[in-house]
Amino acid sequence: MESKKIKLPFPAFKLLKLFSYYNNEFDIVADSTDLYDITFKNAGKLKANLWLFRQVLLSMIHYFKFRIYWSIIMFRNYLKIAMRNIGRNKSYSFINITGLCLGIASCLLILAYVNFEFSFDKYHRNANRIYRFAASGTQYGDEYSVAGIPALASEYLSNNIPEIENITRFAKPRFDTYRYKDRQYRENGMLYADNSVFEIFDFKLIEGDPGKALEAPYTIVLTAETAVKYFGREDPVGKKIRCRESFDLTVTGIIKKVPVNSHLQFDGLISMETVKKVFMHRYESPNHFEFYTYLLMKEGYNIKTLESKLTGFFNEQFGDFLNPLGRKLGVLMQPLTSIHLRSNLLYDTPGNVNILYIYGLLTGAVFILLIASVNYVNLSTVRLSRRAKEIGMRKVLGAFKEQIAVQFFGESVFSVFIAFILSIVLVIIAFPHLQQLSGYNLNISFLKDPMLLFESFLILLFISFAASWYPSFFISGFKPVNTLKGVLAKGKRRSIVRNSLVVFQFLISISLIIVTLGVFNQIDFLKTKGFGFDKELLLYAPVYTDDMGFGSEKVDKWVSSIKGELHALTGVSNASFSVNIPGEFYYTLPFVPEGLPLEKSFKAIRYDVEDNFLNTLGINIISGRGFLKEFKNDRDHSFIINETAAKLCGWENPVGKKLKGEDGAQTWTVVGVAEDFNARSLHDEMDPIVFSNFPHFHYIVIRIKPENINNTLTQIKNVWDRFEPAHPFEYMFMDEKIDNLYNSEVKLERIVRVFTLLAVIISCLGIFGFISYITEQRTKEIGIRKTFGASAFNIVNIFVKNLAVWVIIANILAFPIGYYITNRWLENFAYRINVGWKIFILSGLTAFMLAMLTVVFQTVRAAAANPVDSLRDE
Amino acid sequence: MKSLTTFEETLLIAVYLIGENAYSVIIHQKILQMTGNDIVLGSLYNGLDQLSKKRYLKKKKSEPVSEKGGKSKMYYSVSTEGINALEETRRLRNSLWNEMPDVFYKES
Repeated sequence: MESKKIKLPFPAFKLLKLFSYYNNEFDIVADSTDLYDITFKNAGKLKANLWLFRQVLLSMIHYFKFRIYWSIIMFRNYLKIAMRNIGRNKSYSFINITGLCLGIASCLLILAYVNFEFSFDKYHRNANRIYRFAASGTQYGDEYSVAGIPALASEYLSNNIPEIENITRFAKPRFDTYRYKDRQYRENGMLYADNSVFEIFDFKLIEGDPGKALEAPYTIVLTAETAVKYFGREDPVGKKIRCRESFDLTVTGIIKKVPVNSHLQFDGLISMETVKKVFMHRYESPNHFEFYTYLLMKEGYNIKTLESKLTGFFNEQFGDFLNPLGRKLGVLMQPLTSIHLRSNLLYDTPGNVNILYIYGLLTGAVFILLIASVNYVNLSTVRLSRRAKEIGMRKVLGAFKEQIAVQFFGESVFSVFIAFILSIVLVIIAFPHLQQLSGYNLNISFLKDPMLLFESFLILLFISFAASWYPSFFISGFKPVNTLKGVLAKGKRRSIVRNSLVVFQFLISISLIIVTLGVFNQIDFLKTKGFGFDKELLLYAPVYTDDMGFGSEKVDKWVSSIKGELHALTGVSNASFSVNIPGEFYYTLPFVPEGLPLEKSFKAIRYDVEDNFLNTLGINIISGRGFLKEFKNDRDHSFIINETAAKLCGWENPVGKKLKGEDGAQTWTVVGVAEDFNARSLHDEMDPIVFSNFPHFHYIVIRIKPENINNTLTQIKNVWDRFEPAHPFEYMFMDEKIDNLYNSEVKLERIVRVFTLLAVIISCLGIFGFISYITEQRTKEIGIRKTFGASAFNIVNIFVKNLAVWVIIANILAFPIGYYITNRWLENFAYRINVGWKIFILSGLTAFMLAMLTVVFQTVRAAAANPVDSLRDE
Repeated sequence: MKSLTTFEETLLIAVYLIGENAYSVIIHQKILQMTGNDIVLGSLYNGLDQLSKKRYLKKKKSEPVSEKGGKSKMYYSVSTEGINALEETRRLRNSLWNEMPDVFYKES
């Protein structure tokens, strides 16, 4: 043994040292060397190595068994302690977990909704190769973008642009009636479409041949739902549907219901060839920018070069027609998947959402989550301070700082996990209500959305770390000597951290209250402000006089006869016609006061109206006269302008002055000036308006008397049916229409309100827990104060004062933030409220009162307690 | 007094037989020689530890030895309690076997 020194192979040596429990006392490495030596001499190298290998392996197995065994023991201990603590401080745990649960749940709900918004159109196989061809351009100096292009453009495109694999077009028919036998319905959800729609998009035909279902004219493909509506249990394929009593459409296929997350929504597709038969002028006109054109690109396309190429083509094709009108055209290639969130063009597909709105929601979600986390951190730090003795004990018994940190971290993660599970339950319960809030029929299930599951996992991770890190490291740093004595390091710094967290929560809550109040007041203002005319008891409906020929005798006759009938009804006080109604967009045209150069032109909305339109709306003529039947010249030679237009012209006395169009072709005489009214919405200033008496009407406007409204409506409908049997009478009330202009604001208000409510609740929960901790810590102080004669009021006062300062600081900080956000939003409106001191006072008071109520509620109990109980153990 | 386990018994007997100079490696070798079992060092240490705690073995540290890198060896010897325990175990075992019928041998 002494003669030859054999060393153990290096890794074995290391491993043995690492994994041997007995190395200190017995020196297993040295012993192993000896034994290895002996075996080497007796049995040779191979045997010795084998033996050594076995030793190392066994020691490793043993080591790990040992480690795992003890970790389980410790883990069981930790778990038990955690459960006991949750059980012991029921109210704390409840507040803590509830706050977090609310935060996570609302965040998850918002994410579910946002995910859904982002999922639009992504389910198409070719989604990343499909673009919508939209036109951008200028007209009379106005920049605008239109979602559609003329129908003929795509015929040229498919022949001349090699990068394009396929093209399909959609166009929207008017509201029309469709009838099968005695079942007649009005359909708003039909679209004209090329047959290639089935090759480009993933709209699946259940029945019918996708190759030629929409090839022939007068063919229609219905969704299953619509088909059932008309045909019941009959087989729809091959049957004929009569459209507006003038032509038949043959059903050639049945299509699956369009998924909710498609920006193209329809109940049926009519072949594009039908348009050629029925509306040839629409199809051929280079002026009808109403065909939504979708291009399927070949692989390897370059969208930038294509865009410039197409711009060239566009102007070349339509230049002759457009340039004299002062129009210039550009091309906008919109990726299919971005249309829903990023496209907001003229005549766009309905239902698009502004992505800023989505980002706003996400920000809200993040803030709620932050408040909830802050709450959690604050409460658990406070709560852990009560366990100082336990920590001191553990440290004395040999726990390392890291072990304590890990223990409390784990405990915290455990609570977070409980909150998470509860919030998922909450989400599943609340999911149906999300549909109301979002306005979609979300047929998604929370558990089936892998993206959402992934995100919720991320949230869990984030919250676990964000909310558990500070408390566990805060607590593990205690010195055992102090903690065992029951003295905690009550440094000023710690209380500042806690108090600033309270300030932060209230800062967000108060800002949110300010924004809610601002939005609420503005909406109220919008609804009561009105448009400058009486919007009550005014109804309107689309008319179809253009089909009778533009400005023809027939129109005149029709208009005067239906008007005569309507005026004969007792319930109708006035009826008239117009090309446009307030609240609807209508394009502007340039006008030049006579004698001024072209550059001095201004743009105004032109209303082609029937004689007593202004009368019907209740708009007064300030000077001059209204249109009169007797003046036959009015039709082509007279304008009435509104005050704003008169101001733009710079005329003191406009009556008798002359206006020209920018092309200078015709001169019109101003015969009257009308009062201003809002033509679009209160988002915008008063527009200059020029009224003409030209018979070009899209709407009938009827003012009715307040008595017997239902009866009047039936009578009007009867009159309508006699004069216009092909079209249903689709009336709406003007006040509803105007209120509907603010739908998105109302929706916003609803969501902001929910956010605010949550933020306030969570913040109050935070204060509640915080104060109950402080009162508990100061039980003895309260007892002593009471024995010395302090009243309950005095004691409550101490705490109120303490917290009031912080809430007031939060108020002061929140005012500018809330003011800024609210004002930024209000900039959308030409007519807006002032964010006045009332809103600040109200929001500040609300937050302050809620905070103080919480404090009082919690401290009164402590203050009312008998001092004998709290001082007994001294 | 509790009776010893077989392993403890073996260990005690091995230490006793070696007499002086009984330290871990030698004990290991002795057991290997006596029983043919190549026991793991860890369990050997564990056994020695347990027996020392029960006072059946006495420990004695040697002077630091150069071949162990300056560490001292731990020498073991059987204490009086150890001897008593061995005897008790043997007695118990004998009495147990005495109860067994002779047929046992014949049938097996």
